[in-house]
Amino acid sequence: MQTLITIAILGVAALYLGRRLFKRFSAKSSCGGACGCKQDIALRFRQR
Amino acid sequence: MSASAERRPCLALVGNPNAGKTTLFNALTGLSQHTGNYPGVTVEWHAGEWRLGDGEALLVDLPGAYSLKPHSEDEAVVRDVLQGKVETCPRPDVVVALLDASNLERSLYLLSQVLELGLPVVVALNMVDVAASKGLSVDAAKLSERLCVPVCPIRANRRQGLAALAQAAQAALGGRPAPRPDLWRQEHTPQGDVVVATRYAWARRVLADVVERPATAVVTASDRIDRVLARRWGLLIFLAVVALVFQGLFSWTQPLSDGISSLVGSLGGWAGGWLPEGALKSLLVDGALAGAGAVLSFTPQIALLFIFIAALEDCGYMARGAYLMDRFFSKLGLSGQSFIPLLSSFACAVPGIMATRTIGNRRERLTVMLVAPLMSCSARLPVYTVMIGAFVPARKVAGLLNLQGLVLLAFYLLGILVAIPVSLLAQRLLLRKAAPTLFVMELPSYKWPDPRTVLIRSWLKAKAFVVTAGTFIFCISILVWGLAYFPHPEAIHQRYSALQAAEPAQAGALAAQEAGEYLRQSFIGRAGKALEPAFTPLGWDWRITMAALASFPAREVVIATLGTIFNVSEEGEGEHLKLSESLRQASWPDGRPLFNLGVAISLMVFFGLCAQCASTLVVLRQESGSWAWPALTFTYMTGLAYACALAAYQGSRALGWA
Amino acid sequence: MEAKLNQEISLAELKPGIKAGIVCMQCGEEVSQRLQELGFVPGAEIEVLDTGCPLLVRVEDARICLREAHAQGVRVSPALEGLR
Repeated sequence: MQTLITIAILGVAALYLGRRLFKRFSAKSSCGGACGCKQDIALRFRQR
Repeated sequence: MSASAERRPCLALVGNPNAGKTTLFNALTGLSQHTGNYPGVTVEWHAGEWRLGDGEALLVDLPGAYSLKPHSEDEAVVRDVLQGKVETCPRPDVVVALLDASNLERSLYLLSQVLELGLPVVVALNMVDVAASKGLSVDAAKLSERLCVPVCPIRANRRQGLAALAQAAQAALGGRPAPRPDLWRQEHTPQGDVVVATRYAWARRVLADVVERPATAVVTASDRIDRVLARRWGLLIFLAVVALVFQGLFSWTQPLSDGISSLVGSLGGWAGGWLPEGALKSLLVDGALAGAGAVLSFTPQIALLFIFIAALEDCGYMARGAYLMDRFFSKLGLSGQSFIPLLSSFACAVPGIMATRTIGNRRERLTVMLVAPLMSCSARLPVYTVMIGAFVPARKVAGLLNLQGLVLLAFYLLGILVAIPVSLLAQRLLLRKAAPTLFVMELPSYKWPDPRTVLIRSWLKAKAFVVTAGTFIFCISILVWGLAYFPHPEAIHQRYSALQAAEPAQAGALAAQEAGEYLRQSFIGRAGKALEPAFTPLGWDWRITMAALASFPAREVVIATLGTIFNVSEEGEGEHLKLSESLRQASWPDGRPLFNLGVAISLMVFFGLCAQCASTLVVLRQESGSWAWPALTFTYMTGLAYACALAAYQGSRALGWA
Repeated sequence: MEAKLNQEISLAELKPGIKAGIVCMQCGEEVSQRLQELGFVPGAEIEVLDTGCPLLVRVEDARICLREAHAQGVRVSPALEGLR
């Protein structure tokens, strides 16, 4: 039982890593960090 | 959703580098500031909230620029934001132009371009005190008259004049755009050099009897200081300062790092107490906690290094450093600007590589990115410490110098020495077609570093580092744990349960042995066994090979891995000492000792030169725009590490050290 | 004496401590632009603070350092000092 949970967590960790890497390097921009709304000044300061 | 009703006014802060823009920005926005990246370029934005009247406006601190005709990505961003061409940044409603009173003509050069944008402009006149120390006096009222925009004298570092500035900014919101400067007598606008000359001519006209100069040039305190620091011996003084601070950095943060490690260790022990035995417990204690602990224990060093570098930059001494180091760097095809990124890499290559953004020249920038990982980072230090502590005799050389300390220094120098031919080769083979580097830099006046600026910037950087690199390393630690844990055969557990039942007195030692056996069976253990033949010429057996393999994604795990492999029972304190003992006692199957000076050296050389950091490779991809560079870095460093470790071991054998 | 007034030399040849005025820039386009934006304009007062590589100069009120190769393209005249 424990082993299953552990493997599940490992899977999540691997997926998370993979997703972050993919998000960073897909799409047009090479902006640092997690791409998307966090990089948008207007969104960050709730302008829109 | 009435988004437009909520929309706050947006102001942009522009000005020359070294004019005090960051100090002003920090004074106005404080901790409300956030940082991020502009799309498509490796330029950071800083924005925060500025209280104007009874409302809050958005203030964007644009990168320092000398001109809106861009020579670098930074200047291109300034131009684009002011023209409203950047999607993620709103076009400013008002431009706050910061002028350096001690360098007015040059500041007006930029201002002449800003005034042509068709936006309302408010001028903040900073550094009047610096101007006064040069004997210059500036008539702000007259300047305002000539420019037809409000001019507010301020002292950003003393936070003086900010209220008046806020009032002027608020008044300018929704007001008329600033009038264009009367540069051209003719209808059409000329190009190139003539434009530059015309702008300066305009600046002089504006400044005539606005600025009063002294009859003879005044020698400022900065000039006097520079007579010592920026001359002959200045380089030695600078290197001594840097060495001293680094020394202090590592020794002051050691207690804190150790404290964090043992805290995490105790936490693991406590958690282990009430969790049932099994995979999950091991994941949490040996994987997650150990991983988090490793990252957190390096954070003090990295944070302190950020603070140190920020303070040096703010007071102006860093510019002198770049100037003094340029002579040496130019021989390598680089320039003084490469100094800071390489220096930062001694704490961690990730911020070091990101710091290469300030290098305008593509060839130089890529070369520095390629060699930055060779600078011995914080994560390599535990390896050096343990190996040197265990296998280098604690003697004094020439009655004065500590041998162990010297060896440690030698390994730090190793990275530097290897970086030299690598950078030369890289430029010759790969980047031949790129333009040679340009080194022109202003040395700003010395000033006391502003604590707010230094601490805010360092805090933001440290936070960003822990959040991005930290979580990355943490995830990797968990995955490496997984590879070192599974398949975890039940048979071993049964065997050891029986043994422990038979000899309860040996419980501790048996538990450690059991852990070692699991490791042998694990995926990574098997990989180590398989690769062992390749590493025996380096004096390694499968256990050392396994530890090195496990360290590839992140060096931070190596000490913990070595501890487990060599059967050190898990306790937080005294870990290194116990590890040293275990290492000394480890042996080959035929009984000869596994470790000796030669093996220790080859291990340190390997770790010193190998690219064992996934975070670094990811940042390389991010900053260079392609996977080619991290792939190249990984390949050349791993190859070099292997070859040099091999040579080191065989050489040690020849010298009788192995 | 008259001949000395028109003496034009490169910044690299200017001796430390002697004030001069900038005549023109003959470096490559990129370097010229960069130097001009930092204050290297015809008529500006310039003085060498320290020789060596890179060169340390004072241009009007700013301290700038630049490599000798760039400095060779900056033409200055000691006689032009003070004339604007």
